[in-house]
Amino acid sequence: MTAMDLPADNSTAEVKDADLVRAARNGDLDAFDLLVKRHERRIYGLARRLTGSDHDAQDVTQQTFLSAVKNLSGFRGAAAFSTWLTTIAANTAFKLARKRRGLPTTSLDAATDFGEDGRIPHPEYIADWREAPDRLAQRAETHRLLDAAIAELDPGHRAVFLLRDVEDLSVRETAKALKLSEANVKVRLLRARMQLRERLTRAFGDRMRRYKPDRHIHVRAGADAEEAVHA
Amino acid sequence: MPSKRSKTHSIGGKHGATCDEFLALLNAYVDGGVDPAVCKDLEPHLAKCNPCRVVVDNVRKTITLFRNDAPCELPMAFRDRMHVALRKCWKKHGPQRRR
Repeated sequence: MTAMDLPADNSTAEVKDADLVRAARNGDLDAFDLLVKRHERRIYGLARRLTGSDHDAQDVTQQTFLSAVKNLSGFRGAAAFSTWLTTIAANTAFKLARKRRGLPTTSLDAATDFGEDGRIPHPEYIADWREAPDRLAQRAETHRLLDAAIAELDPGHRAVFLLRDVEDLSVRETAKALKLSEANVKVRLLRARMQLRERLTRAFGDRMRRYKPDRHIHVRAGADAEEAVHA
Repeated sequence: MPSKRSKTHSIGGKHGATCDEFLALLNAYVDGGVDPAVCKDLEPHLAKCNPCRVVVDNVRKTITLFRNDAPCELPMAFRDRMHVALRKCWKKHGPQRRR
C-alpha cells in the first residue's frame, strides 16, 4: 500500500497507523510524513513534560522521528507504532537529562527513590473536586497547573506517570521502555498518582467539605497490605 | 506466628479492609486489576469510608485531566525545520522503495 492508495477524499483519519507503517517501510515517504503529522504534537507534548524545557523538547522530538526513520526497517510491529515512538521519546529524553547532569546514560532503576523509609505518603488533603474534569480542562489556568504539578514530580516518577497514565502504555511496556522492573513501575506510579492527586485536590477541592485524614498510616513501598506500618 | 496469606485470601480480617490496606491496593483498584476475592473486601470498606472513596475519585479525575489536556502545538519554525531534516534523513537512511 502507498499513500496513493488512501481514500480519494483525502480523509486520512481512517487510515490506520499499521497501514501507513507498511507503506513507509516500502519506501513511501508520504506515508511516513502522515505518520509524523499524526504523532508530532503528542510526542512534543510528552517531551515537554519529560524535559521541562521547550528547547529540549524540540531536540527530543526531532531525535525521536529521526530515529524512527533510521530504524523503521527493523520495526516489526510487535508493539503499536505509537508505543514504539513513545518509547524512543522517553529514552531520548532520559539520555538527554542524564547527559546534561554529566551522568552515565544507564537505567532509572539505580535511583529507586522510594523516600527515606520506603513509605508511600498518606493523603492529607481529601475533598471532592468542585467541578468535573471536562469543565476544568477548558481553562488555561488548569493547563498551567498541570504543567506545574507534573514538573514537581521526581523525574523517575514523572516518566512512569506520563507513559502509563497519559500515553496508556501497559505496566510491562512502561517497564521495558524505562528499563525498570514492573514492581518499580507500580511503586513509582502510586507515588506519582498520590502526589498529583494531593496537588490538584488542594487547587480544585471543595474546602467547605474537606475530610480530615483519619490517622497517619504509612504503607511501605512494595509491601503487601498486611505489612502496613502504623505510625 | 500467623502464616503469610496468599493473595487470594481476604484481607483485613472479619472487619474488612482498613484504610492502609486499601491504600496499598489503590493502583490496582483504580486500574481494575484487583483479584475479585480481594475486591469483595475492598468494596464494603469503600461503601463506609468516604475519605477513601473520595481519594479514589480524586485519582481517577487526576488521570482523566492529564489524559484530556489540550495537545501541544509545535512552534511553526521548529516544525518546518524538523520536516526538512526528516526528508534529508529519509533520503540517506530511509527504507528503500521495493519494486
